[in-house]
Amino acid sequence: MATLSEVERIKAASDGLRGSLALSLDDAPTAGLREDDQQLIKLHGIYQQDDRDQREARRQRKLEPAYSFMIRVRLPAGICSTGQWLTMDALASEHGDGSLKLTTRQTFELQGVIKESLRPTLQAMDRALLDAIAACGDVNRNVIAGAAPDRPALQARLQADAVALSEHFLPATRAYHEIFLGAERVAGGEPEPIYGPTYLPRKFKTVIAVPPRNDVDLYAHDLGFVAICEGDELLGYNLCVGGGMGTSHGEPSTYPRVATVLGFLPATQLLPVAEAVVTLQRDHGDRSNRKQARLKYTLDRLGTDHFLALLNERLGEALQPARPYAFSERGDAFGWQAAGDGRWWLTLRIEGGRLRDAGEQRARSALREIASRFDLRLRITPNQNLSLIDVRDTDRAAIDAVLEGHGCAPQALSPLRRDALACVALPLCPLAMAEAERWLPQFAPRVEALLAQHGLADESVGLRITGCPNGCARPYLAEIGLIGKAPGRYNLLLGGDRVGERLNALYRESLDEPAILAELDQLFGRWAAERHSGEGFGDFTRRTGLVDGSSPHPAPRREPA
Amino acid sequence: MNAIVQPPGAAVLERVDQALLGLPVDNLIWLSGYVYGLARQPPQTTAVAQRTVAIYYGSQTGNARRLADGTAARLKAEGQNVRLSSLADLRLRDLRGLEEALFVVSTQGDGEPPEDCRSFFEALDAESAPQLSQLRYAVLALGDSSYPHYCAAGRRLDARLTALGAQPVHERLEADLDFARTAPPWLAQWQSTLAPVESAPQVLTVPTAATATAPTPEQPLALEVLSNLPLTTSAALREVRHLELAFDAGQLGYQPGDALGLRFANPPALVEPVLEALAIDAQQPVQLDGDTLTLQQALAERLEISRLSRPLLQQLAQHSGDARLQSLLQPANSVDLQRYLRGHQLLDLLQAWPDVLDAQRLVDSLPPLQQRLYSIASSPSRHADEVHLTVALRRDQQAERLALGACSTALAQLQPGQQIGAWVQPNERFRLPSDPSRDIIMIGPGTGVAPYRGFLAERNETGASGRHWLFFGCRRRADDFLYQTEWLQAQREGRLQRLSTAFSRDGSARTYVQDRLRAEAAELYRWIDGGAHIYLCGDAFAMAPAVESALVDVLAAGQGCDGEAAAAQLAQLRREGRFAVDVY
Repeated sequence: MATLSEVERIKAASDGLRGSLALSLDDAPTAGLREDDQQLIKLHGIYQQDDRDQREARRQRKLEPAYSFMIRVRLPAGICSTGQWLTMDALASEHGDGSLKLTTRQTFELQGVIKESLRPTLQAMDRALLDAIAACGDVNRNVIAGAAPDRPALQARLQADAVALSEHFLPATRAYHEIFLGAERVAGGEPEPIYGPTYLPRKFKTVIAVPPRNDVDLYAHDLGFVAICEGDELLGYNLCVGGGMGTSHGEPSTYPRVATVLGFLPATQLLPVAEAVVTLQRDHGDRSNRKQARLKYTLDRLGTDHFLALLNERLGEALQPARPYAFSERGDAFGWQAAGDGRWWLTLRIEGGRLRDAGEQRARSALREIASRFDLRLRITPNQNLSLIDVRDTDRAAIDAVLEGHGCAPQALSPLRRDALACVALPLCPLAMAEAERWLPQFAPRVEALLAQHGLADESVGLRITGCPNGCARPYLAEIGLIGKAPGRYNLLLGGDRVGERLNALYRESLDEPAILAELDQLFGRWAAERHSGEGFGDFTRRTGLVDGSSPHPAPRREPA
Repeated sequence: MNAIVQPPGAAVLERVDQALLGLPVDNLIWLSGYVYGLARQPPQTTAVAQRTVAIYYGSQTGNARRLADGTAARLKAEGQNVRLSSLADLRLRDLRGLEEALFVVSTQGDGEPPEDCRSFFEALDAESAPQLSQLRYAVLALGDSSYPHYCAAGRRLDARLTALGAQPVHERLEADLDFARTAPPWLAQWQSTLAPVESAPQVLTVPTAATATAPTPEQPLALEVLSNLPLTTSAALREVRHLELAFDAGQLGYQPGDALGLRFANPPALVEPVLEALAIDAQQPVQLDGDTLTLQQALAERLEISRLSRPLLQQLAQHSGDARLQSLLQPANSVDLQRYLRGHQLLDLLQAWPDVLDAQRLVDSLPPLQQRLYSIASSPSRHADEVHLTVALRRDQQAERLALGACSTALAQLQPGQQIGAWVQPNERFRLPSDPSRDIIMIGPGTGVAPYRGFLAERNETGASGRHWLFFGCRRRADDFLYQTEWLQAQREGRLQRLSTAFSRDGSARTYVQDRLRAEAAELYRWIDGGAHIYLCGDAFAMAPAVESALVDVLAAGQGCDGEAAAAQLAQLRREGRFAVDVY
């Protein structure tokens, strides 16, 4: 038996995720937390970060790094009320860095929150019925759900199921309430009926997808449910397991994996099936090596058949065979869209998911005014964009006017600009090896120009950039994936498809921007000249053998019988 | 060596050890040469019993002490029997039977005597003070005429000695910032009042071995700059820098708590605007202390141009006839004068009265360039052959113009590899406890934290078993927490047992070190009650009184006594050397 990883020790000794967090928060001489508490606070939806741009200058000044905290909200299905929106908006000014980050997992992140502001921020969120519980760390994180505005009853049902999943897997510990909200501790520790004392071996992400739109990137998550419908009516879900993006450079035992479809379940079985998968991972996941701990490795280690057998055993009955479904697109539907109930959706592009007032474009102010004036809800999309939903027909013109008045009238963007994703990366993400969010606005127009040179300006090409191989912007499912390796250097991955069902593969390693552009220039030239009718860029690079079409990751290892 | 040298017996060694106990390293080095010199002298006849001349000093920045030192050395060289001591060590009974004394005493900004001499002044004022009719004395009072209570301590001492029946042999000198010019002739006159020497010299001149001469302001040691880096971020209100200076082994002796004096010239950024405002040729020759040099040289190297003084205003008032200036100089308006002097700089005056002073008049009315002293922030045990400084750059907004501190500006521009002249200013009143098992409480907001960096390093290096508690304050944790990573590391490693911080501009309520002292009153009292030594370093005007008042509260709460009793107890701790203060 290999020894347990350090994080397992910390969780086990944490007294229900309390650790010494309360003391750490009150430790005035440092802006940071004690080492173990830095791990524990993740399970409360908070990461300790530092501004890496300032690190060296501060070290020379004998000052500790510029520590601050990122708070990630638990927001099932990405939907919030106008009041909740206004709360987050105000907190971004009062305690954050003046921006709201909208994430690929349909939630808000507040960045740059100093230690002393954590409690006031979480307390203000609590008054707005928002929390950050289990938004990060080795637990089931925010549950995301796809968009089906044309089927309002189904949409409502999916949101309800996302909320039910999220709440079902909330940790039982009251640590968050005691540490951050000032609740009194009730004598005796609470047992964790689902998680047990050490929670899950690794992060765990759950998703609900609604064909035909794969906006949620179904195959990138540990646990996925594909809504199987008859018209507006939900029949049940296909169960998907074992998707995951994260890898480590130079460690071939780590790999991205698309989720495997295991079968069909009636809608009423949602929570029991989800719990069976979660507890299988709890019991079988690797707790000695965090780089082999995600469900995707557990699944490959056990083998899909064996995993399914274990699952059926826990359920007491066998899953039904998977039902047919098909995805046809992946990006968000921008602009005004009629919902089936007479209301409207308006989806706005938020580049890099970063919502702020920048010069003439005062997007945050525009949304503040909209949330203050109109009866609607807001939905953060899995593509880091924002939809105004449940909008009255009579408010549409006024909303358009507010956007225009703030320099944010929807612009006709190329498909490339419209759908590109980037993670946060530098300067705040501790994992980042290269720029992503800050680089995208300069880099994307250059790729756009190349496409235009080859007469491909109107073609959809999925571009995703991350600052490290952990895969927050799901780059392994992109037609063009750029994964940071060192400052200014990226691995170029090609060959994903347009709906996110196939992994891409490594094409060139450690390229700088001119080299990336030179490669793309030449590849776009070949694509324009040699493509089949309507053939996507990713499909083209596969068909022509530019990248390896075989299995993108090592064959699954099976445990000896 | 031809003969075997016999070591002295145990009794002799014990006497020597006792005499040397606690002396600073530079004294020991000096003494080694001194003893060697004694050994090389021909045997002396026993001296004829002779009257002793006592020279007492009360010194804050070291000027009074240096004047007293120099005078004592001269008298000794002429064969006088001299007793030299600080007023801090003087007890009233020592004055009984004494016939000749010189007092050199400076005055603090608030008109008070130097910190460590206050108990002596209080004792002298008491009704029980002895009659001193046998004493012939003179007082050399040092002061700064830009402050309201000019030379107040010297005046007070003079008046009290007269009241006790002592005979002034020479009229008191009140010496301003230019004391280096005015004191020597006065001292020579005083010396002429002493009875002539009756016997051959008793005390040997110090041998000239290199190791025996510690650097002085007149003969500083050239230190090499190793590094010169900011400790604060660009968002901080004041820039504070950390300087590391190197010397050859044994060239400079210091102890934690000492200060380093630095010799510097006014930087061009200060000199050039003055020359421009004067519209006088920078190369014009001027006379200064018997030297002929150019105006530019005089302003850069010899004269104080970053602090205003009263004589300059007097010159301007006299030659301009300006009514407002003349009114400011009236004794009744001394507070206004001080405010004016602090709020303006030389440039303002030269621009307001451009044609009043010619080059020579300006040179005559400017005080000599003052030495600058900085608390040493290193420990010789940890930082061998190095001395570290914590330097706050003075950049105040005065009358809509940035006022640059002369020395700190020059220091900020020092590059690694450059040299700067320096000497050690011992600070005997600010020393670690001789007992290493004592706990120490270090209170030092802002640059007041500097000596504690040396204290902690010294105690850690020497394996002291006592605990350490640091109280630090600044404006913002993120911007001006001086040496933050070092304190945090010391805390993690258990070398700094407690670290209490107050950040006055983080959060809504302004918190200062005195608030932290009160918040920790119970534990703080346990430390004090257990024998801890308390140190206070930093700003003298706002911080120190607030901290002392908080300490009084801590003692009062701990003992359940009233404020008066607690204040008396704090004063007692101070007399016992358990509460040491170094404020500026």
